[in-house]
This record gives sequence, C-alpha cells and structure tokens, in this order.
Amino acid sequence: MSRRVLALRLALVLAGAVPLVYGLAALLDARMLMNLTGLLSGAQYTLTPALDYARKPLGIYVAMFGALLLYTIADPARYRAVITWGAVLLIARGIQRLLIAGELHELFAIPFARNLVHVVYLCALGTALLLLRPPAAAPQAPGQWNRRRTASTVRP
Amino acid sequence: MTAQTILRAILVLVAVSHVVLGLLACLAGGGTVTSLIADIYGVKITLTPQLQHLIRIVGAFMIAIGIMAAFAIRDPIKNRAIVDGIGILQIIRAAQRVVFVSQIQEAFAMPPGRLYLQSAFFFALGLVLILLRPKARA
Repeated sequence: MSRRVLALRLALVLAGAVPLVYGLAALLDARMLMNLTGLLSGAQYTLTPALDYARKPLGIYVAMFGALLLYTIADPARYRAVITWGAVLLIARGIQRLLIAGELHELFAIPFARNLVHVVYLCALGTALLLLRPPAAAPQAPGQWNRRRTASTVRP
Repeated sequence: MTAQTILRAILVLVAVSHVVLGLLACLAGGGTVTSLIADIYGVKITLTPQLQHLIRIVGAFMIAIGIMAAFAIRDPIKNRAIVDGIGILQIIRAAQRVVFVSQIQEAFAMPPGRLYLQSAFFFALGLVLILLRPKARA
C-alpha cells in the first residue's frame, strides 16, 4: 500500500468515525450528546421536547454519513465519488460554521475561538480528502464497469 | 420493467425528495418551515431559533443523501453500498417513528394514524431498496 493510499485511509477513518460516533450519540442518548457537544464545541443549550426529538433523525443522517465514509476505506478507487462528496460536505460545513459564527455564539454560547478551530479542522480534512483521493478513471463505454474498476484499483 | 428500472425510479424519488426538502430546510424562513412541516408531516411545532438551527443541519445532510442517491441512479452496481445505506436509513427512520410514537405525539401533536402511515411507507421504501439492490460480485 502506497503512502498516499495509507494517508487517504487514515483521513477517511477520521472523517467517518467522528460523525458515526456523534450520530450514534445523538440517536441513542440525550445526555451523551450534550456531554459530547459540550466537550467538542463548548455549546450550552436547554433540550426542549421538540429539540430532544429532532436530535434523533439528525443522528441517523450524521451516523449514516460517517458509516458511508468508513465504507469507502475498503475500495477508495471504486467509491471516489462518495469521497469527493464527503470532502465537499466537510468543507461546506466548515464555511457554514464560519458564516454563522455569530448565530452559534448567540444560540449555543459557542466561543468564537473554539468555532474557528472547528472551521479549520473541517476545511483541512475536506481538502486532504480531495487531494488524496484516487485519480479519476478514464471514461469507458457503458457496461464496461468491471474493466474500469480493475484498471483503477491495480496500482503500484 | 426490470428490477434495475424500478430501483432507479425509487432512487430518483429518494434523490429528488431529499434534495428538495433539504434545500427548503436549509434556506426557507421560519414561517415557511413551520407551515411546510405542518402540511407534509401533520406536525405542529413552535420553531425556536435552536430548533431551526438543528433543522438546517438535518437539511444539509438530507441534501448530501439526495446527491449520493443520484450517484447510485447513475451506476447502482458500482454504488451498491449507497443503495444499502439508504435502504437501512429508511428502515431505521421508520422503526424510530414507531418506537418514539408517544414522544412524537407529545412534542408535535401528530395524529397517530398519519404517523403509522408514514412509518409503513418509509419501511416499505427501505425494504424495496434492499430487495432490489444489485447482487454482490463473486
């Protein structure tokens, strides 16, 4: 395994494991979610009944996103599109957090400095995935998927 | 009509509904979100700023799932994992609605009949996706 593939797989573990754990915490236990959010973001909030329910669908989507990114570790060349989309979503989340820093501070008391750390982390991880992802395979005629995959996965 | 055509048609439904609802959750104002949720889900909510923020995050992930479903429409065999993931997601969402039925009714005043109907729909959708997914390669 080349260093580039190893680095990509490590980045995918990081990119996938955090949302998976966070999503499962949101899905399974409100107290665990609040502790985790407090630890990572310094966020403070009161869990209203509506908020308490909304955390569950959010948890499923976040956990599934993480699980899919972890799944790509098995064959990054095959799931290049998923890696690209995961990277774009991470960068978009980073930019979003930067743009709504004031709202996050006002609603959840998230300190600006802590939020900035998240912004840098998300953008750096997304950029790393974009840079490390396997190169795009050459276009093939329809029905020739197996040949393309073989060509893209056999690397020195 | 082949199994793959039906699978693709369901994936189109999943992709379009997730992207459209996700965009609305992310971009629409508080009043629009409240009335949309009431129309689509039959739910009455008091939209606090914190809840609206959470809905926006759910919306971002819904858009992501919708676009992944679009990848699977293009090549369901290559993207079998996405089909599996979306199928499992729909089944868990349906089970979650049934398990937390009393909490949903208490928090959102949702009629139970509508809740069970939606759960059955999403369960069937997930099940069909799992049943129609392409076979794994040997």
